[in-house]
Amino acid sequence: MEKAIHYNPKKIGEFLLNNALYLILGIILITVIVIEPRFATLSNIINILKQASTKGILALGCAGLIVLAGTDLSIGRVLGLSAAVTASLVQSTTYASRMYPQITEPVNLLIPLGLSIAIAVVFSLINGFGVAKLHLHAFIITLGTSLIAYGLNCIYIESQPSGSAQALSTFEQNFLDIVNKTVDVSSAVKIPYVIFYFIILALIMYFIWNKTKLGKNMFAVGGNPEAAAVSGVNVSKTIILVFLIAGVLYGIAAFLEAARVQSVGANTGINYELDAISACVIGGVSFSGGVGTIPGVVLGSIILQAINYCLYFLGINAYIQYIIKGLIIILAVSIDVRKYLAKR
Amino acid sequence: MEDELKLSELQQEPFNQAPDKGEPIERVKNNLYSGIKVSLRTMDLIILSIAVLLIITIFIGVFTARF
Repeated sequence: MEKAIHYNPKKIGEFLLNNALYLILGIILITVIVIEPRFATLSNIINILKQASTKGILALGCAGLIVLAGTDLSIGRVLGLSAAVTASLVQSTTYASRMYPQITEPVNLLIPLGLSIAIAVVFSLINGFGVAKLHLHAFIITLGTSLIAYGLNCIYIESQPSGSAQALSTFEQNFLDIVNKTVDVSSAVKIPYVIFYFIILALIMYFIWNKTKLGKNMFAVGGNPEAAAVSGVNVSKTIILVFLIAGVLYGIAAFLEAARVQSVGANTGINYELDAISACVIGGVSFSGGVGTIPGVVLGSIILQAINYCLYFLGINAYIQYIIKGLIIILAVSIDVRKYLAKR
Repeated sequence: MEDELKLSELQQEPFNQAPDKGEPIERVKNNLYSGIKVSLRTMDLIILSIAVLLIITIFIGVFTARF
């Protein structure tokens, strides 16, 4: 005798609501593939992954701050400043209008990488100190540092010997190769190095989040700082360390982004913080704190980039694209709020 | 290392009582969402409305791009 399958409408409704965002994004992807079958080619998928990589690295850093029930609005501008410093040091020595004409030999790439990380870490530590010790809201302190980073970036770019504020470009080939060189799986499948960097950093972050004391303390502080404090967790130290790790990731992302875009100006990095935060929210990192996973962040970054790519591929008006992205973020946060209310 | 991790896990068990006074600690979290006063039903309606709005916007975007 066959067993009757009973569907619980309430549970189905609950499932649909909690996964509304993924369902809609899935529908968008399927629609694009139906309308434009050439979208689903391997080269397009690799392109999406390449574009998602640097922003994904930013999201990996930002996710820790959101788990702490904070955020970071300075990501884009700090990336811009770090990328500008990197770019100025790796300009081709044969380029007449380079920023440092006194550099006649290509510099060791560890120097711009180290400087890029150092700059991002300094800004992140200021943010971390403000949040942990001065108990400032992350929105305010990171907004302030964002403006400072932007100001410094503009001054730096305008200080070129030519006196102009033109974007820094024409980089050494060995620098460009760091990101754009590919591992050729076959004649059709060429995977850029930057995708591997993203995977490696995601694995490291997965280890930090799940296998170390810092990761466990981070979730404890994000979930309930008071309970964490009375349980013996050093809340300030945890917050500052999470900001420090975020800074290192921003510095690496800035270095890679400079090589990826191959031209760094005052507007490099603009709105990157929104992409990083959106990727985290889409990936299930909760703004209520204490909830989030690294696979979720990676998936969120890829989904967000895939949607950006889809909208561009369909030729949707740029202004409508902004509205769609805004609605996606609001929908993701609403679902997050709903989960919070259901748990309460 | 493993013992240390286990110990830290134990330490992170939320306490209901302050160690010295024995008074309950308020466990309401102070986060972005703690002030939200809407019902679950209202939230469902909000999510549905945004989802519909998103689908309509995408449709308009595709329609204006194609025709």
